[in-house]
Amino acid sequence: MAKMIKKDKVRELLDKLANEKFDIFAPIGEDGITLYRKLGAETPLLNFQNSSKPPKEIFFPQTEKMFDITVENHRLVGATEPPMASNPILLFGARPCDMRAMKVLDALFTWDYTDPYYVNKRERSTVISFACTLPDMPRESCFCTSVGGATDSREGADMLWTDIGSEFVVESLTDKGGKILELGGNLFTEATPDMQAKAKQVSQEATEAISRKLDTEGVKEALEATFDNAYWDEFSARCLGCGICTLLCPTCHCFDINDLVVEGKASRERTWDSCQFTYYTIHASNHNPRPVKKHRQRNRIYHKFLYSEKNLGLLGCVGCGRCIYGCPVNIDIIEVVEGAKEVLK
Amino acid sequence: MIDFKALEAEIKATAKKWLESGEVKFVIGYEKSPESPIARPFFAHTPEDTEKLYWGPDCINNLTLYLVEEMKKKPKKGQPPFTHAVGIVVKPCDSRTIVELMKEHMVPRERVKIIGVISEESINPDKLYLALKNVPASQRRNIRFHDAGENFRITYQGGELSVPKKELEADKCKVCVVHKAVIADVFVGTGEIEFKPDDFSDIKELEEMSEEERWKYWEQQMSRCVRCYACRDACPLCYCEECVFDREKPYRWVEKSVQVRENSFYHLVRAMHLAGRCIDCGECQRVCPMEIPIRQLNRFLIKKAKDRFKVFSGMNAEEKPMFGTYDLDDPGEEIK
Repeated sequence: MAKMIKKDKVRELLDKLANEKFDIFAPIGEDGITLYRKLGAETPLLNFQNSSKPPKEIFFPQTEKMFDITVENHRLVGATEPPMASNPILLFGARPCDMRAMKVLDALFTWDYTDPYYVNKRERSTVISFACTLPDMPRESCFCTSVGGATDSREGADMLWTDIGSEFVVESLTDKGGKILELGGNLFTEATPDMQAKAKQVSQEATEAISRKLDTEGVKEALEATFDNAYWDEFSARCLGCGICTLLCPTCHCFDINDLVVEGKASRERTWDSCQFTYYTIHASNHNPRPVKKHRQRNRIYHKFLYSEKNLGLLGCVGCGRCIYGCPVNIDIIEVVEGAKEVLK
Repeated sequence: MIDFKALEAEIKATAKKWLESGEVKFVIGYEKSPESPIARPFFAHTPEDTEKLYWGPDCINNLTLYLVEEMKKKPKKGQPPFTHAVGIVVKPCDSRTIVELMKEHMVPRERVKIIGVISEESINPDKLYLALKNVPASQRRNIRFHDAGENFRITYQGGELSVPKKELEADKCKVCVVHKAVIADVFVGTGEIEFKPDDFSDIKELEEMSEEERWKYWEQQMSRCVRCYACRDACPLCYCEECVFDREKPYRWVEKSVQVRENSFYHLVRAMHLAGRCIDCGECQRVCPMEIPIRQLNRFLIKKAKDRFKVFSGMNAEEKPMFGTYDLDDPGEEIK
């Protein structure tokens, strides 16, 4: 049974959940962009364009300490892991594409080795997805419907909320979602059939507003056949070699592990890395197997549309459009992939 | 009023002539992408390619970074040095970058042929997206600009709208000092050099803050940095063979940790390296996905260079770089 909650009751619900020791992460407006930040007493954004940085950082922070290192007389004598937290995490207001992306990260971080830092945070988390609705979503670069997604995709979410004006239609999808309903108590009421119909309608309208399309048919074959094609030189000529497309991608997951000493205290931490950076692949011998921009751009496309599916059984792109929107020189992943198919014809 | 179509035709014709005669190896210009409202960099290698060249107020990128990239290329061992010239389309502001690059011996004059477009302001892409907000996404194709005096008439697939120019103007254009390229082989368009005094009023508020207040402000801004290095990579004057922030050996100058301490170190060092050189093309701030007001740092140093050393970058290729000169009249007793 679908429920509903009035928009002016949302802060009250969040207060209740905060009392239950939930760490709440929610979209906040900061200098004109949307970011997921740990929520204090402020009211989160309920209508927003998708965040600049994907919410994956809640579970897989850009920089994360792995352990402290004890040094005595310039010798490494021990390591102390920070205690794992146990309080629940609530990700409030995630966009459906970003939660589909978490499935890629889930598969990766439990693939051949279970990553304790990531898994711990994921297990503690409850996710409330917001269906994309006009006018804020979709953005002009959105193409989730081409890569298996939907504006009201329920994948990876515990609840789906759909904005129908002055209230949200609330659908609980898992036991964790049921728990939120329980804690919210009378803040949630029955959604009328009219409301449920309206929720369907606004999702449909948002889906129809998605103008970008990518035909994934034949993409893998095209990529397998064009690895050495001059095509990859062409489009990468204008690439700046910055890390925007990868650092803002909800499925990108490369990281680099470093030891550092700050004010006499040593620790080991991991930080997101980007395959677009020159030294990403550099070997100890100083040999770099991907020395120029074309190799690095090609790797990004191949990883999303070929390697990810081979390794994890999941497409590495969820169509959030951040790499298109953020690219300073308009390298457009749809155009690039469609172009690779053209080469083969 | 400016006829963008006419300017575009002149650019095409000039580029075509240069490519046919073999004077240049290729021409760096702009093209319109099928999907984005904003023009993007384009390289015309053949006379036929020039048909794709485009001009409009959405030609935002400072293309001179591709010029440096080409000039940095070295021949294989034993081969004679490259001598080929490259053609480039520049806005007035971007032409100042070429002057600066010449001062620093990165671009020999004979290896570049410049099409200087006499233009008015460029637009700010974020403001354009806002103006197009009510246009359904499916219609935001084939966007073209037409000068209509105080307004831009913007046509798109299946409609048009009129937006005041001032509403779309990029911030950097509000403090523009040159309306005509300071160096060019061919000028496209008409007009005269017109200097508007830059009073730096946009950074006054920041200057008047106390040190604590200012640090708090920057701490907030720097906390957002994702260290994508797009500001560096989009900067034509950030051309080091190996950037100090990429350097791993013999040791790192900045940790990879994304935190205020390391992020601010990166931004402040970069700003210092641009002191007296930056021409305020604004690309660093435009490309920033986290909306960090990087220009404010650069503007602060532009003002310092002007007030203390009487240096205003990118105007005269005969001048020596600020960091490359020493004058007994320089201020600062402590460094004499």
